[in-house]
Amino acid sequence: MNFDRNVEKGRFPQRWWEDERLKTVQTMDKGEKHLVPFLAPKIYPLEPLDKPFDETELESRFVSAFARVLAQHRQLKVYMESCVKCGACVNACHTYQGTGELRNIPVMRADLLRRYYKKYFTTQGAILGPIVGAERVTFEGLKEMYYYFYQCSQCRRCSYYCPMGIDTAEITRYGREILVQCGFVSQFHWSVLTSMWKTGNHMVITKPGLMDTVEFLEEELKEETGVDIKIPVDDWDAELLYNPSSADFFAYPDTMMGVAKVMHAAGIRWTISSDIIETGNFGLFLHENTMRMLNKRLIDQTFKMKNCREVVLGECAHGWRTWKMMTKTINGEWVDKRFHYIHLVHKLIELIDNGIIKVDPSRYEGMRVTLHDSCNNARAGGLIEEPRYVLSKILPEGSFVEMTPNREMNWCCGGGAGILWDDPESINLRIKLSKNKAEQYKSVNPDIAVVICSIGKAHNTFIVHDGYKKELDHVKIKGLVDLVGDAIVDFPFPAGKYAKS
Amino acid sequence: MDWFSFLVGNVLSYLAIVVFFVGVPLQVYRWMKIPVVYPLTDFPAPRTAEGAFIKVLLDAFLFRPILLKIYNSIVYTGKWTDLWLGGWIFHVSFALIVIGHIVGIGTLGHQFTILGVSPETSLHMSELLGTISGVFLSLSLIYLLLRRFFNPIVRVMSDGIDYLVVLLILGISCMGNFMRFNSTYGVEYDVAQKWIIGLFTLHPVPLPDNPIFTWHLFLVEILLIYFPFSKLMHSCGIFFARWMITNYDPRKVMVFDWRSKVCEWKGGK
Repeated sequence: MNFDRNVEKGRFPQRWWEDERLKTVQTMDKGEKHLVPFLAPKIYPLEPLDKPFDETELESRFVSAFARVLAQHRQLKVYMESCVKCGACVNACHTYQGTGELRNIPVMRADLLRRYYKKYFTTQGAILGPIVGAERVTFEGLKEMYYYFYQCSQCRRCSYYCPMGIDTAEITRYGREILVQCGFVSQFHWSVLTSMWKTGNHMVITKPGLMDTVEFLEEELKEETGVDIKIPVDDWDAELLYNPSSADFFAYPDTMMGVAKVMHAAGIRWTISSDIIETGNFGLFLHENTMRMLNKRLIDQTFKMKNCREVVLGECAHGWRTWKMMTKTINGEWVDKRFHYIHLVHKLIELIDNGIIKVDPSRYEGMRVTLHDSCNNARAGGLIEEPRYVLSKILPEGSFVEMTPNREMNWCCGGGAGILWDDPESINLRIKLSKNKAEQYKSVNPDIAVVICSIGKAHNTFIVHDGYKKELDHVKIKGLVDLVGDAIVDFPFPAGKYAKS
Repeated sequence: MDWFSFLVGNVLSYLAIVVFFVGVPLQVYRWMKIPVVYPLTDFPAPRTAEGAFIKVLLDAFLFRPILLKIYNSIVYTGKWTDLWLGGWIFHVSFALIVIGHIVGIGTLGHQFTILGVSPETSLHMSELLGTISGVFLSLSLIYLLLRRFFNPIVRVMSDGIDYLVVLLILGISCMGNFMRFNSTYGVEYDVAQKWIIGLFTLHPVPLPDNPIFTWHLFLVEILLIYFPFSKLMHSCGIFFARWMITNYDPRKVMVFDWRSKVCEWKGGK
C-alpha cells in the first residue's frame, strides 16, 4: 500500500477516506474502514508529518475512536480513573531506565492518553480543566503521544509494581489503536499489518517463495543429519498443524530445522499451512481487527484437515498470548471444541516425558546456558516453568544459569510490541532500550541464551552482536527447539558442534 | 444560626449524601456494564477463583505490590518501604477513623462494652484510639504531601488536584485533631448523634455553635461530593483492576460477539 505522503497542504482531499487513490483496509466490521492517510517514514527521530485534516476534525475522530474503544474494554476505563500517581512504577520500566526521559515513566506515558480522557469523558475535567491535567486534542499532543506510545514495548512489567494493578500495556495498545484511526502509525507496523492481510505472515512470503525456502532447508537438514527430513507444506491429511513464526524461514532457520528434526524423530505426520505461516500477531499491538483476522485465518485452515486435532504454536511470545488468552473471545468458544492448540514447549515436554524422542545432555557439556523469559511468554502467557523443565532434560547438571531478576520479573529486552525498527536512525534508541537486558547478560556471561520468541531473538541478537558487541559478542542467541533438535540422539551429528571454540 | 452553619448542616449535607451514595454505585455500574473481553492475567496466577479472591484481598489491603518490589530501586524516589509505610499507615488510620466515627457516634462511645468493660473505660478507649489514629493520619498525610512535592519525579507526574485532595483530607484530619485536643471546641457524641438522627428523619437540627466543627463538616461534604468524580474512585477500582489481572479461568470467558456487540459468559460452570 503506497500512499502519497507528499500531498501538498490544501491539496489533500477533504473527504480523503472516499478517495480511491487512498486504498482502505476493509475490516470485518461492515462499513468500518481503517485508514492510513499518511505514514510516518521513520519512528525515530520523528519527522514532521503532513497534516491530513484540521484539528477540529482530528479531535472529533479521536474522541469517537476513544469512545468506541472505551465502550468495549472495561480495563481501559478502570485504568483511566484509578491511577493515584504514587510513583511506584518508576523503577519498573526498562524504557525509562534506558532513555531517562520522564515521559517514559509508565504513569507519565499513560497520562498522555489520560489527559484527553479527563477532558472529554469526565465531569471534573470538563469543569476544572488544567487543574486535573485535562487537555484538548491537538496535533502536537498526538505527535507526542505517538512518539512515546511507540517506545513502550508492552512488556507489562509495570503491572507487577502498581498497587492498583494498572497495566500500562493495555493503555498503550488502545492508545495506538486510536492513533491508527487518526492516521498516526509507523511505516514498519503498518507494512507488517498490511502484509498480514495479504499473505498471512509478516514477511510477505508467497507460496512459491515458501516452497523454495523449504527445499533449501531440507537440503540443509540432509547435510547436517544425513537423514531425509521433510518439511511438509499443505498436507491436509496430517494430524498436526504446526504454525511457525515466519522469521523462522529467513532469520532463524535453526528453529524451523529444529522442529523438523523433532517431528521426524517423533514420527508425527505434521504440516505447515502456506496460507498462514505466522504465529505472531501484530494486531495485538495496535489493531484489534487484524488480530481477529489473523486468528481466524489459522482456524479456517483446520477445517481443511479431517485428522487434525492439534495445532502447535511456534516460538512466538505475543502470538502465544493472543492464542491462549484471546482466541475464545475474538473468535468464539467453539474454537476449543474443534481442536486444541498448544505451545511448542508443551509438545516438547510431552515428547520427552513419554520417551518418544531421546535426548543426550552430554552434547552441551561445559556450556553456560541461560533463559530469557520473554515478556508475553512469562508474564502474559504463563510459560514460566515449562521451558526450564525442558532445559533441565536436555542440559547437563549445572550448565543452566538464571539471570536476576528472572521468571515473571525478568527485564524486557526492549524489542517487544513490534519495536523492531530496522532503520539506522533508531539504533541509538534500541541500544538505550536494551540497557538493562545487556547488564543482565554481562553479569551472567552465558555461552547460549535461549529466547523463545521471534522478535526477542532478533532484538537479543542485536544486543549481543551490535549494541554491546565489546562484552557480549561470544553469546549465541538460540531458540529452545534448536537445542532440543541438536540434542536428539537418533541422528549422526558431527561431534563437538557445541564445543567451546 | 448563621447562613453558613445552615448551609453546611442542612443543605450541603443532603447533597453530599445523595451525591456520594448514588454517585459511587453509578460509577461502579458504569464499569460493570462494559465487558472484559479477554483475561488479562499476570502469571503466575492462582488456579482457583478462591485463591484469586484471597490474593486480591491480600494485595489490596497489604499493598503487597509495593511491599514486595524493593529490589531494583535504581531511580531514587524515596525507598519503597517509605512509600509503603506512608500509604499504608494513612489508609489504615483513615479506615479506623471512618469506622470509629460511625461506631462511636452510633453507640455514644460505648462500643467497647461488648468486650465487657465499663462505659467509662469504653469512652476512654474510644478516645485513645481516635486520638492515635488521628495523629497518625495527619502525620502520614504530611509525609505523603512532602514526598509528592520534594521528590522531583513524583512531582513531575502530579497534577494540581493531587495536592488539593491531600490538602483537603489533611484539613479535615487537622481540624478533627484540634477538636480532640482542645476541649473548648470539642464535640460530644450525643450532640453529633442528635444532628445525624435529625438529618435522617428529615427534621434537621441546627449545628452546635462551633466554627471548627462546621468547617470540619463542610470539608467532609466537599470530599464526599468530589469523591465519585475523582481519582478517589481507586478505592473501588483497585478491586476491579486487581481482579482482572489475578483471576484466570481458561474454561470460562466472556465472549464478545463483534457483530451484534453483545457480550456474554460462555463455557465453564
